[in-house]
Amino acid sequence: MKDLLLNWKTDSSIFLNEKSQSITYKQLAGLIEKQIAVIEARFPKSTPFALEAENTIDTFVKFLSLLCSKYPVILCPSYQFNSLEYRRLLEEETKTSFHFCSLQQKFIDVNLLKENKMHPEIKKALGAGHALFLVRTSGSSGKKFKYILHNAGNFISKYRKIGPHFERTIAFSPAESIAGIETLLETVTHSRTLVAAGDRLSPVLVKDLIQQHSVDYFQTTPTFLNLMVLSRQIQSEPLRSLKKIAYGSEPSVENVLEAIQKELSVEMKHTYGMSEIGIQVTKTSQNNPTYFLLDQHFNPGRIVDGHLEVQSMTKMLCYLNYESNQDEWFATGDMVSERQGFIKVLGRQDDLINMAGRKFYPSELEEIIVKMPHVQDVIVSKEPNELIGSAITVKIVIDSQLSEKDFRMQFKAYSEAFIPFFMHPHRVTVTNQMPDHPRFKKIR
Amino acid sequence: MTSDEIIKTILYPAIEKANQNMPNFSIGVLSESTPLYGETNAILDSLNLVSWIFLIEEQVQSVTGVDFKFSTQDILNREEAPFANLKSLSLFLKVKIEGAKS
Repeated sequence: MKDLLLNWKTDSSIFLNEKSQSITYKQLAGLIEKQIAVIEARFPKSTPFALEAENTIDTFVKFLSLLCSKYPVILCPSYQFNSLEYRRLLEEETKTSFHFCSLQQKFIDVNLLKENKMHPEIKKALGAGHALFLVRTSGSSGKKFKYILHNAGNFISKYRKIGPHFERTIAFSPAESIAGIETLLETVTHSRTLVAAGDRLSPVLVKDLIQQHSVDYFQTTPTFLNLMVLSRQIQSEPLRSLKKIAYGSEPSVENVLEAIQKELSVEMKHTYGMSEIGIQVTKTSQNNPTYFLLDQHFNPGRIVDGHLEVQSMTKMLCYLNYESNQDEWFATGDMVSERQGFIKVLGRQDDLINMAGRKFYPSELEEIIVKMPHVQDVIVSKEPNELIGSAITVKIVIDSQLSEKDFRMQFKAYSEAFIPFFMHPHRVTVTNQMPDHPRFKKIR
Repeated sequence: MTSDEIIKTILYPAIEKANQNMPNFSIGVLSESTPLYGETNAILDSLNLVSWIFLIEEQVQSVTGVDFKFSTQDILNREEAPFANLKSLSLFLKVKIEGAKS
């Protein structure tokens, strides 16, 4: 990472376009050097950090400063960062103590650790000289989350090998996700430009950003492309700077991709990745862009019993709270079909919900709703939805002290106050009858 | 059903229900041409659009007996965006309801 910093010090190209301000790489290097000086003066060497994160210059500078100075770091969305339960779980599961730094805080204001625990695998990786970041991913249904340890250097090596392939892109994925981190790291490896406009991007805002900043590479999800088509924001003139659209993380819809190809003369790029292995290098079938090939040079793949296995340059170093028997072939768990060597992701056999780029299990939302007064039980599930992939449906059992109408009004206010926006249910059923279901609160 | 009847008996009630029950849904007075989704000043975002679609589907079923779901293909096939405003949505629903009944 530090060699990148040296390059940026003399680089006048634009790193970030954010609202009305632009930051050059030279300015970025200056900001990072100041932060490194504070970090190294104030905190014991290589002590880990948890940063409240969003796609803004402050988050990017803090994250890159920690990587450059080899302090392990995990990025957290606000709804997790501000939860004491999340913090307790993070430290307990990773057997590591973290400095917690909010969006508003500067490093100088962060409290020093009272104890200094560190997972042996983190110690080992630091000993090997790696710049480390952690990612939290979902465990299997109903079980705890997995914490993954990555070496940022592997990602930089991958991007150098691939070479630059865009000039300007948008920070679309949540900052804390592997896709968000990869977007940032790939951009800075080649001194390209990132366009950031917060975490709630709408189709019309994305169209405007592409037009305003001449974005040539847009990395998104099939669902967001659906929404762009639905809102008629796929327009050739405003999007004329676009050369490539990348989409992944969920199964894609053929007719939507075809409609986009018909309207825009762009290369369609089907990406494939997971928190454990990073984003893989792929080649997309331009005849049917729901199919792709894994580049066998960068990341060989094979299909075993209908499931995809991959060897990745950016495979995690390890899980910090989970025993894994994975060898060099990583079993992704994704079911795929194959046609003339190209593969198509069919999906996963689990109840994980993917909404606005964030993934969560029904039990996480249930745990929030069940705390609401008058709720006796709640069942959250996902239902397939053509427009957004899957929709969130909630069945709530309430006590008899409140009418359904009154409860619904209270539920709206409760949701707005306590449920993260991307977990808001799309369909809510309310009843006084206890269904015969194993998720009853009374037997939890 | 005319498109005006669809607005009165299906779309307005679906908005009222959503206003009462759905998180982050608070729509005031709107005209037939108020942008619903996709424009800079549109009143729906990508997350509450789907909640509202569910309520429309339920309201169509309750008022007309027609069981239908919005599909990507339907939307792609139309020149005008169905969710541009209440008028375009009512015309879209009119075609769908008539098609299902015939």
